[in-house]
Amino acid sequence: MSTTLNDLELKRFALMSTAERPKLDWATDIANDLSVEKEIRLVSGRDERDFDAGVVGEIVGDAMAAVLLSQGRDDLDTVENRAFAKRISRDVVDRLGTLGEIGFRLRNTTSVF
Amino acid sequence: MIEAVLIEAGAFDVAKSLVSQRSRLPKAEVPSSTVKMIRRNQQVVPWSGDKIEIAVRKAFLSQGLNSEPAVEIAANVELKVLASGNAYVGIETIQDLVQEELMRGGHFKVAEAYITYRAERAMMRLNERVEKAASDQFEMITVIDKNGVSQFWDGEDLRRRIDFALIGLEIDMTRDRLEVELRRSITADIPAADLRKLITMNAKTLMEKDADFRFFAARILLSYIYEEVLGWDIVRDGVEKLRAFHAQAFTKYIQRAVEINRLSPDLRSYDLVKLASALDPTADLDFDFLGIQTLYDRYLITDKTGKVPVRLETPQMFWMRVAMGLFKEESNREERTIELYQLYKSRRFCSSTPTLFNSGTLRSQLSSCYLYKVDDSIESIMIRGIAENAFLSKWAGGLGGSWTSVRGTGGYIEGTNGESQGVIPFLKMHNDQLVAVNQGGKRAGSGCAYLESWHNDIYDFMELRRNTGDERRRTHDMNTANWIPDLFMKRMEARENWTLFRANDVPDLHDLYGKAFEARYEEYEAMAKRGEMWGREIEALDLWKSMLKMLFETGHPWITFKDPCNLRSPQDHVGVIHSSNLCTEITLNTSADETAVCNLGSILIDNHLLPGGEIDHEKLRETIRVAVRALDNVIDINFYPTDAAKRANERHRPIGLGVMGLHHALFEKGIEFGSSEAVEFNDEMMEAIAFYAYEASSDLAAERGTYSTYKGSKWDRGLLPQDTLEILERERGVPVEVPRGGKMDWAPVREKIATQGMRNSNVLAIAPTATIANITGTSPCIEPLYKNMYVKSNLSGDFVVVNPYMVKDLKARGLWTPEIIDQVKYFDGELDAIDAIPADLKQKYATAFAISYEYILDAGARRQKWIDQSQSLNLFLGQADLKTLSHMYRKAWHVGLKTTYYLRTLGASNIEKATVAVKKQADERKVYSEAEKAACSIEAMRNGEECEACQ
Repeated sequence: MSTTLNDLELKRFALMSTAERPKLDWATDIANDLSVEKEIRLVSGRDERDFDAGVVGEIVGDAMAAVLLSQGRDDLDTVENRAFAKRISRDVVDRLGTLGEIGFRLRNTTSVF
Repeated sequence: MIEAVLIEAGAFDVAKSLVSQRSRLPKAEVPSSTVKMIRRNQQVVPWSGDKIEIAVRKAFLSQGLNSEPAVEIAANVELKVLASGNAYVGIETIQDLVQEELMRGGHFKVAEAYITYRAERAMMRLNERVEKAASDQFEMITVIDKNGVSQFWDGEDLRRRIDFALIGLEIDMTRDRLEVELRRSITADIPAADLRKLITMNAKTLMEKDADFRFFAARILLSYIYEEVLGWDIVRDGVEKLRAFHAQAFTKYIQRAVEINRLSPDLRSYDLVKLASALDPTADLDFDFLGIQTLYDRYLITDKTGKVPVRLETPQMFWMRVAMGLFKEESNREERTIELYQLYKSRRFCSSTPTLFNSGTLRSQLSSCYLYKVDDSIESIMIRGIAENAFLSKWAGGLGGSWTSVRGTGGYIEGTNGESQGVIPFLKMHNDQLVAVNQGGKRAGSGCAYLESWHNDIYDFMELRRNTGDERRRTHDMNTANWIPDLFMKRMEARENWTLFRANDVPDLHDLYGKAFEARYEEYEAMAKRGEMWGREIEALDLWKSMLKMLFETGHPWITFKDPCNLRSPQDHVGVIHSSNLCTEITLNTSADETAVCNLGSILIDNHLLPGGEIDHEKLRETIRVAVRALDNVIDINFYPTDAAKRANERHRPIGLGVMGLHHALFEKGIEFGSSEAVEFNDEMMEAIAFYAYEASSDLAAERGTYSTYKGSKWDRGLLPQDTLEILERERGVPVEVPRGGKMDWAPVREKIATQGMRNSNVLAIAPTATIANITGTSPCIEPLYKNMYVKSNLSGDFVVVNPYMVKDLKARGLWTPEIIDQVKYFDGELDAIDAIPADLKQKYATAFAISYEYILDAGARRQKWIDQSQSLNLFLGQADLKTLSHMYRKAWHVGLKTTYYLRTLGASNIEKATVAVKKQADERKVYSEAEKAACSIEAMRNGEECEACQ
């Protein structure tokens, strides 16, 4: 498949709603495994909730699922993939930890994610 | 942050996937720019810098590079787009700019990949198109151009027109299907002009399928108008260049129109470049087909010097020209002109038809209405009643006047020692004059003659519109109205007698009102009883019944009330109101010296609501201040066909600001027209309009001075219209049944008027707005909708008009199906008899005849409380009988209305139809007789004719 077609496939799966395609649901596991030291609030539109590492895991899992499906793979939930998502989540949580000593709020917009 | 971590981990694909998913997230913000982006599927969406950034980020990530530079590149692209001044920008243009920015930023690797990617995508799209074209079964068409040369027509322009017409619409039909629909009946060797007509006609036949097709069809026609006026070509130039073409063409248009004497040379002295840059063709997207067709057929200035007439204006140039004509005397006229233009283009206010026709032209006769009084002399009858009216009619003014002073049948003529034939033969002459002198060849001449109820020719007067009898005593082309004193209403309700007089015997009676009238009238009655003068005593109830019977039979004479008009008039210190006007909304003094004039314009109330449905006071005030200023300007720049009109208008400076779009506003608010909530809204709406309009006129007085007869007026005496209900009640001696008071604090406005005075003797009047409501795509003035679906006819043929709110609601419930569309059509847009329609929607979309007249009258009374003139208030009665009619018009009087306008009734067969099943055959449908068509203009409109009496 050409790069362009690959790209179109990726776009197609990325824009597909999660209800229409398989989802890598690692959020709970990752949230349990990685603790967030600071009090961080996640703001998305009018919703506001506590931030935990599972939020990152969910986003990464979602992005990975689109990539894997666009490559025609059906072995999505593998040990390697899960470990990769966890690694990325940990890095993100660590970076958040360096952003300052006081608690802060994250806005779920393009400027953050 | 996640993206950054992914990039550092080398997971570019996952980062790219993440970026792609961002476009599903809520938008960061909506920019204030009016630039719209055209996607490849021709959907038009607001400009979004985020989308550009996402696309550029993906390009970087595809190359395994950090995507941070995308932020700056996207920002630069946005700056360039905004600086270009284009109204629309296509996706290809944006991609060109991205490419340019990538190169400029030194991101050559990304730029190269980006170019390759675009090329590959273009090739793929082309292949798809070739495959599609191969499967198409369209015939080879040749078109004959204006030089007689045949050329192969590949239909590319049609596809572009479809793309343009689909902008921002959600139409449930594919582009291919639309193309098939628009190609219907196109044959080989078709002349280009016919091709255009056919495609437009095909587009408008789609309008019954979905309310959004009214915009689709409008844009198909618009695309041809642009080509005609601008020299623009949809294939060669594309919609992206429309703003530039408008800007370039504007100066040339003004020059050309001045050169051929269609526009005043004054317009050339404007800063035309500045005005041209304010033209916004995106506003045209809001026109529906009826609006654009009406403008094209009748309003856009045409160059008729060549073999084929050519329009010189696009709709936006038209709005700008009208605004220029109204502000040409102002010091900061470009700014003022643009302010008014922006009200027009955003459908917040619309001037009346004469202003739209003539503003900026060499003869700027901008007034809608003239009111005159004919005195009891052959000179007055011939000069005022016939000759001057011909001049007024020629320049597109509607006429309304009092003929009460003309002596009735049997009156003694001293000069000849003979007896008068009464007023009827002269009214016949006036009728024929209206036919002979139409309004500049654009509209039929229109007039209304008023007669006070004590005139001894009143019975003959009431029969003027009958279709039987002596044709020499019939006026089929003229409207008539009763001018009824309160005393008559009281006598009628008390079952007492009434006396008819010859006008020359009671010369002061027409000038008196209130208690003074009653006293004098009774003196004359006593004299008649004593045999000192002629008088004919009748039962008041008998005359009332005749009035109502004739009203039902012929639609005329209308019912208007003399005393509320006069007792509540701000100008009671300098004269008498002897009649209303053609459409019963103007109440101004008339005399031998003065023919009253009124300049009209209407606010679109449905465009002054906040998202929650409340009135947007800030926006309303802003609109009204510009509108009142524009109307006041009309007085000074107007062309007056007669001296009496010029004198009256310059002395008193009345204007008539009205309102339209009431029913649409109620739909927006989710309120039924026939409900207490709607009555309350009418009160609130009119109070707000009155508040800001009187304030605006007072502020203008501070700037420009008061009108010359301000001193001694009710304004000067501290009496605002809402205060004068008490005067009416006192003089009448009968309660005026309308709740007093409002929601706003009037103290600041009273204070302003006390210190600054008023610029205009009269400010508010609600005129019918049939045509300008069509142009602006709203419901006419304060009217309930007559039909949810009806066939409209104009110069370009028939087409179906559907209530878009109804379609939206039916669609939302999955009920806009072919079967239901057929049933709605069968029942002329009435939902009552359609089983599948839920009760709440039937109630919501009840049309005029299903709404209780009590609500209509109560709403009218609430509005009248605040209005210093009157309103064109149509009344509707599905099943009219004398008793109900009597209740209705007595209520109209009791709630303090000044005037009523048409009585709309339905024939019996229409009522029956609403109870039968849809399976019944079409031959049971109502067929209107010629008499019925003539009786009432709304009936005429249903049958494919225009109501030319309206604005």
